Amino acid sequence: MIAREFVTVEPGTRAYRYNTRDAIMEASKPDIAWRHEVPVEWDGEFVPFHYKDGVPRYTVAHFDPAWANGAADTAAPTAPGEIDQRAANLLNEPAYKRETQASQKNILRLHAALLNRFRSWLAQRFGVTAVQEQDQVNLHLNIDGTTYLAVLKICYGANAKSAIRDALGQVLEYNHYPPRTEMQTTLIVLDHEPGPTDECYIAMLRDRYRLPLSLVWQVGSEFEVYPRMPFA
Amino acid sequence: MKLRAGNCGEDMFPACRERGIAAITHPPIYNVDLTHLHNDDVDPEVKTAARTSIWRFAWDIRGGDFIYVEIRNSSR
Repeated sequence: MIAREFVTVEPGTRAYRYNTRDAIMEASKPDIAWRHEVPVEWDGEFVPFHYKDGVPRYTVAHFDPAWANGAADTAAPTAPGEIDQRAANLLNEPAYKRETQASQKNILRLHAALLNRFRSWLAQRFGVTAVQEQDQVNLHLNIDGTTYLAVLKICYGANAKSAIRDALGQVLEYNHYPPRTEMQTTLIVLDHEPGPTDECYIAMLRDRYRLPLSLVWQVGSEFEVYPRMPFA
Repeated sequence: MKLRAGNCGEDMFPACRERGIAAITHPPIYNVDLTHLHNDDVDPEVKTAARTSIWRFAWDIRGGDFIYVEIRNSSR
């Protein structure tokens, strides 16, 4: 993979446009204009990686991180320079990471992409239309009469623990800080598969504090849920 | 996504990068505006992999998505 680009139209809206005026053309075939376009912004921080094309006949295909053998940066840029080691030492918190302005911008984009994929999956799998909150960060949904709050988190540096930590504060606030309406169940939707320890942590929170939490993460074109929910 | 004309054709990545676009084309829809069409209405002459690619490009890509650009190896 040689580049990554972010689709710049409003999150969730169709990006296609037809260019009748000044479309690009092949130098050797100036009579053929490439009129079918989507507007993008190139990711200047992207680091190319090796990739085995699983569908060579297709010009456009859904990206499968498995084809990249773990080399794909599907979470966020985590170059060593982005971690303030001195601050981490002072805090005695190895997991603490400083997010640069650029990486925050990337996370917002990755967040929008995760939100699009999750909404699309809900619609295709269950025919459910998830309602995006005004701040466009969380989703509300109703499946078979049960209300859900979905809090979407990017695992910065593939660190699900930090993402869960961030989500828990938001879950409590979004469900209980007046005048919020409490949802019956909360889904913490991650862009990275959590580990067994993360799942144990969620199980403990559910058992000891009776918090109706579940973890959700993407596997291929599907989403997995822990613990399994009636709808999944 | 591949930004190259055919299997061994011109590399369109530099032009796309300069314009801030990703682009695609295929006969016989070189000059067909897909904006107001349903994906089932794409010319039936566009078949199989090309048809799926055009559907994905014109109907599935949404704001907030990210697109990876792949080099298509002309010797493949």
